[in-house]
Amino acid sequence: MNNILDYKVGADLTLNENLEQELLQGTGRAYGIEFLIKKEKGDFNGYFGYTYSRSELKLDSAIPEENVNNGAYFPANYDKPHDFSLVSNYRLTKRFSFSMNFTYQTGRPVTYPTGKFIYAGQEQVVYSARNQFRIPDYYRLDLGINIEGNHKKNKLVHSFVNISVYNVLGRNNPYSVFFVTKDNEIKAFQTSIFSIPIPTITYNFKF
Amino acid sequence: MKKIARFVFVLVSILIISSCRDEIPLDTFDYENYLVVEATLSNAFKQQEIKLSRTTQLDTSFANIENNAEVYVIADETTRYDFDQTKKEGVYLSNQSFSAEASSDYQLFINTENGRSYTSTVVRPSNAATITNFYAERTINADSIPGIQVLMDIEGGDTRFFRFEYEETYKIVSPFPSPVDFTIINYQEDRDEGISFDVDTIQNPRLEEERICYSTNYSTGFNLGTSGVLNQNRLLRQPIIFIPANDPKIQERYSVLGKVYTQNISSYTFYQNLDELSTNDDLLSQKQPGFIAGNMSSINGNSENVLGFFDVAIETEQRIYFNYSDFDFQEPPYFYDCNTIKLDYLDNTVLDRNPNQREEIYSLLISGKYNIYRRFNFGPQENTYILISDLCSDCTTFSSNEKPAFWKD
Repeated sequence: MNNILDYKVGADLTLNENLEQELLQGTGRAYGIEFLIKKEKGDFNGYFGYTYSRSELKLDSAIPEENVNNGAYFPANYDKPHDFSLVSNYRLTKRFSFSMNFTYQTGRPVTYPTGKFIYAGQEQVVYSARNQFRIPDYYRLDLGINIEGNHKKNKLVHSFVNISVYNVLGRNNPYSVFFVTKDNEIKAFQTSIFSIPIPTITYNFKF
Repeated sequence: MKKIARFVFVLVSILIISSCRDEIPLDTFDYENYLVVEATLSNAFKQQEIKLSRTTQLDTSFANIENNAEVYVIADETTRYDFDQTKKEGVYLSNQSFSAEASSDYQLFINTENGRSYTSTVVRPSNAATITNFYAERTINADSIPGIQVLMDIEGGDTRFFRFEYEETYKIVSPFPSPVDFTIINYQEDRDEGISFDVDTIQNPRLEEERICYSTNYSTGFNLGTSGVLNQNRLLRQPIIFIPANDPKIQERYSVLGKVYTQNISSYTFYQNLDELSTNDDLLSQKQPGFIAGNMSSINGNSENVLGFFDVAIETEQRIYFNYSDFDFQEPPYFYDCNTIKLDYLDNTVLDRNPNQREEIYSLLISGKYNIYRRFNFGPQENTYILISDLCSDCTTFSSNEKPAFWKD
């Protein structure tokens, strides 16, 4: 893949009129393998999937400022090598069924500060090679139960209630980790959504 | 309707509570120890300075100095200038004074104590810029603070990239000089009477030189400018420093030396990147972090990273003087609150529902941080002391009374 875009070091795109000056073009490569087992019939059904995939980028240039990671391939921002998902449903009776969903993904790549130094009378931060580290892995377990109404044929409305809990383990899955430098002090932050189990109730009906 | 509103409110609250930005402990994930080179040779004829240090872990507070390195610069592949380490931390000074010239090539070589060798690319400085105007204006800054903005207009030579620095020097006059030197004598402690002491004073009318001090500060960080997109190679109204109207520095007389260094695209980009990553404070527009490569590299043939830049720049400088009254501002306050403390030696008890003033006089005087501004030896207020913080009576406590050679009153 050619002409893949990525940022220069220090690039700031907000309200920038000369975007092209902040971007670099490079070569990309992506490869991987996918694996899926599915069971569709029976009271117990579901699937299990695993994907190994890589997506890498190379930004090499004769101009030192436009050279990232010494011109070697590095993981792209969306590189998630391992992706594992398990979905299963179990029908206990005609009216009660349970479902479970588990996903796991490698954390996405990130550039971390690795030290500091004094320059021009100020404290400066030295960062690692681009995307050398990864944010914590993502995993989540959801559980649910379906309760259906009676199955009389001549009903006006066929309905069921779904009670489920999203993120049962309460895993605090960061979707980004970033650093803020202000007044010579560096701080690390992570953002996450739903770091606590979220219960939901849904009522569905058909007519 | 009310129920729906409440439901929405609860839902939004849950979202806010559970979707969040948390500060996480900043561990040094994988500390890497790099050599840091900070060097700008200039055309000023002086002992040129090069600073060598090492990166430290994020959670340490001390600087890490590179000691005992062999440092030299080769000019035009012929002349060698050796640099020796000084007592000042991490600073190496050239053995002899010299000035960098715009038509010469310079290359820095460093052999560190641990047997590694580093070198810079060959650097040729650009021709000097001309300062066409260096001036100060009364203004209100972006934070709505009234004050004085110092600005510089320049005309470039053969480069369109510039770096600006300043050196500010200001005069300080101690507002409450103490007329006496004192010593505490006959100190006694008595179980019933408490403490007692005499204060022996010698009249010492302060000479003007003892009352007047001069402080100098140097700019930090990076102030960069480019005339890159303009037709003419001119840069107008480059901000150098802003001084708020109530800044004590302009109370007496203030002087600022503005400097402009010519840069090339590499040095300019290096400083710009460092600057951008050191002010990465906007949560909504994060800048791409990364390792900032300068023009230094390892000779040993490995890919060891070196931080920093060997810069050779031609500097042009100009000095101006002013104070608050030149801009019709009100006289700014002094650097410190100068409230005098009035204490009665005869009050040696706490039974009068205020502190034991005698003990207070003693502890303030013995602390070395207070001087006697006045003492009443007779009359109704006999034995009353008026004390003043030494920050207000003696400016040498935080400044220097050595007059700089360039200073013009």
